[in-house]
Amino acid sequence: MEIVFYLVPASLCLVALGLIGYSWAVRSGQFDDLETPRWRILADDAPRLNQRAATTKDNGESNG
Amino acid sequence: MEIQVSPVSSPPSALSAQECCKFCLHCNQPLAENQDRFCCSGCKTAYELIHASGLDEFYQLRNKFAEDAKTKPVGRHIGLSYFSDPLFSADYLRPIGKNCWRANFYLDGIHCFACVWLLERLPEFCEGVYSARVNLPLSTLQIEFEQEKTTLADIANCVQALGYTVHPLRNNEREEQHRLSERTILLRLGVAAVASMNTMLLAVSVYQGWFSGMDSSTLNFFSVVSWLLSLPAVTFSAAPMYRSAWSGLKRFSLHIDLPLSIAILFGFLLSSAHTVSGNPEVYYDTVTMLIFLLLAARYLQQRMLNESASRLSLFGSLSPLAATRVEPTGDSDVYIERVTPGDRLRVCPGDIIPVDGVIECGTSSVDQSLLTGESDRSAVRPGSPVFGGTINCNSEIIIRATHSLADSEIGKLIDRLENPTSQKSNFVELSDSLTKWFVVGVISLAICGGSYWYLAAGTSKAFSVVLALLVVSCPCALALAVPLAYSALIRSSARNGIFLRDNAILEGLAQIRTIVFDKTGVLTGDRLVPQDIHLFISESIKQISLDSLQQPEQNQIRAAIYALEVGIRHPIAKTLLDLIAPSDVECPKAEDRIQLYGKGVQGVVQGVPWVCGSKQYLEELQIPIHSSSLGGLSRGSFERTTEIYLARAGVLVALIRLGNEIRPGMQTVIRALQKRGLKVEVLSGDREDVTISVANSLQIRSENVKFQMSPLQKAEEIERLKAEGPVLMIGDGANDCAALQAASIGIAVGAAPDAALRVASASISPFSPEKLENLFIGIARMNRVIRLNFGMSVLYNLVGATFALAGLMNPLIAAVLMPLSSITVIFTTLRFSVYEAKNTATPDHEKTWR
Repeated sequence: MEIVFYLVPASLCLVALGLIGYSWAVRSGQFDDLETPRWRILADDAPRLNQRAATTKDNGESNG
Repeated sequence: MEIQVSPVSSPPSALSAQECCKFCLHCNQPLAENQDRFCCSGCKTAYELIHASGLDEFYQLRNKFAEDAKTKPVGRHIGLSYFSDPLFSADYLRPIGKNCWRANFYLDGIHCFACVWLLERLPEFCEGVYSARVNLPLSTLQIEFEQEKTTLADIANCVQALGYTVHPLRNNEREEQHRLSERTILLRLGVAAVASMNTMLLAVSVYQGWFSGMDSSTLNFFSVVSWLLSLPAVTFSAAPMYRSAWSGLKRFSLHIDLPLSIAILFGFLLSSAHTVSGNPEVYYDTVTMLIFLLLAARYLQQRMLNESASRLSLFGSLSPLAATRVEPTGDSDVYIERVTPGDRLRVCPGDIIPVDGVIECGTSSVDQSLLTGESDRSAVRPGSPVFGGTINCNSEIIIRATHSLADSEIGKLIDRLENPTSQKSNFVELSDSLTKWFVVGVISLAICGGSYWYLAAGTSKAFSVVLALLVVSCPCALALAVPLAYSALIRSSARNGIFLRDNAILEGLAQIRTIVFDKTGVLTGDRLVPQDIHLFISESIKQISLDSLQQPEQNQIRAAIYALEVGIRHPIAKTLLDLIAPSDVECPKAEDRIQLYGKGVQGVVQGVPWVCGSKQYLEELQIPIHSSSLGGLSRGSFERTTEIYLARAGVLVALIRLGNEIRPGMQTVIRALQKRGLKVEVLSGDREDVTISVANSLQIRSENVKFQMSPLQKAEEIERLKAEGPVLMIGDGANDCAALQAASIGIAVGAAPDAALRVASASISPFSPEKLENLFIGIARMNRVIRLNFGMSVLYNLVGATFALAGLMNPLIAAVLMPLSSITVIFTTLRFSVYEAKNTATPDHEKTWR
């Protein structure tokens, strides 16, 4: 059963990764509005965004 | 920046040629005879803009999601030049990155996803905007744009061209705090979830190992891993609990978080000790599960509370955002914060006066109901003082500002409303003291039980019993269910147009003995409705409907009324215009039009002099009125009949009667209230005969009816009634401030919820008797649920504590039972205290705003 000694830490690493991803999601405001994203998937095409200057903040940081 | 539009080439193919002519292409409203494809220039602009950007999919989406899409572009286009003012930017914009700004708008006119879709494509046709995000439940739009490529005014114009009215949202520190704290709770919740799920997994393996055998090295390993997993939960996630328990301890007020914190820390430290010593009895799953469930409940609560609060700042709703300053070079629109004492400001009829000041030129009348509660307008002339927030009714005036916005009465009012001091309610105090006793009880039982078992069976058993007791005892009903029930009710009420300010109304309603109704606007509807039309045919009178008249005569009368009443800001004028339902074609202008406030209008229409006004006015103009023929007219179901006489060339032609109807459904509600044993009273500022007749129709006894009362007298009467028991007052938010405040519980109707909530505990806007009924039902239900929860909680605690103290309860069982009881309480609360209103479906765009 020694394999467990390797598997458990490995899964803990995955858990840690998951937590990091969750933390990013919360901090970037993805959970602020849970209603509107429900509807967005019903549209057919994605918005075509204007090019913007490279110095601006990442678009993903914006929140609704 | 110019918005590029190309002429419309062809209509969408989905419509047949026939239908093209009948309905406006943009808003789907029926077209009049002479209108081609669009009903107004607003629709035309919006359509062209959408079409030019290749976004016709908008119409298909709208048909899919909003079935009767009669989406007419809303509202007036406000002048937006003050958006460029740096003071405005400081308050309303937020810089992000280099030269980029973020702004939030509240939009009128968003009702479905099609609007979301359209607005989020703003970057495609509005140069400089690189991100647009709509929040559908809150009806807000957040845009990010580059400063060099565009200005906020251009963006706002773009949005308005699509047909949505733009209200900029002020940067609100408190809101930011709320949002950040919500996110932090979510983070803590996530960590706790991870910890509890994974420790549970490991624990399940361990339990399995009890049956089929697990060697001690694996057991120890799992123990250590569980410890590692619970560490972040116990330190990071549960930190708020420790903080509040500690601050409660320091103030000697025992908070429910105290036994919970003790349980968590005790369980964790005990388990850590066992892990170190190799003892397999560990309780990491218990502890982390406890943390997770508690945080989950608190998060839900927090979210519900945040959702029901209105986001819109009162700046911009109670007072305008811009003022028109008169300067030697001409008028300029200035941001209202820029107005300083000494500025000369122009205020057009119908607009809100921006700040306190004195009139320099112009004579007009002012509606001061927001500030003073008086519904009658006061006449003002040069030299009269005027106040910000009041409405200029009749004609244009020029005022000299005497105060800035912050120093004006309206500024102080807004400040008070936006930064409310929180109120402790009775119930919360009761549950606080119950909690204290509970906490004391649990801790003393733990000490006693622990000592007994220590003496009887040693430390291990003692620890196990103490832990089981601390974990199983759960005052969930106190800690969770009451706030949850309150916030569930507040939220579902807000969805139905009922805004509750605090908890006082929720608790106090059961004790009410007397209900006082104001008459105008509460018992009766607030719109004037045409009752009937009578024609005078040589001394005799005949009731007709306007459409049944012969053609030339009908058009004449319609044209005359239109010409006389168009453009006049008066409810009677508006009702008359609605009655004749004009179309743009046949609208002559009246010459020499004279309007006398409170009396009527006269003018020359197509060469013939007409007069339209009250009986007194016509008599003053020496137009004879045959009183004899009027004697037989019945009053009908209207509480007050306003008589408007129409005379052509000195001869009486018609009598139009307008009235306020008693609200349908009011009778049923009043009867239900009376059946419950409540005393129903009516207080009114109106005349005796009218008030009594309304009361009679509602079967309210006349000794409970008082008339011709001033706002102050109403307040005194309520004070008098309070001697018999708590009094609930339902009144017009604008006029009955004093009375609403005097009552034990006040419900304001009619006025804007934000202002009304200053004096009342609740605001129902727009008002209908069903909503009142629903409020009562909802509160009764909520109280029942709370009582139920208390009962269940008491039972559960008694049984659980007994078993735990008897040494019969394994802490793990305790850990499973406790969350079960929490879940049951939460479930019962949410399931049974949320009510759906009957017959009062609020249209989507009214849900979060007035």
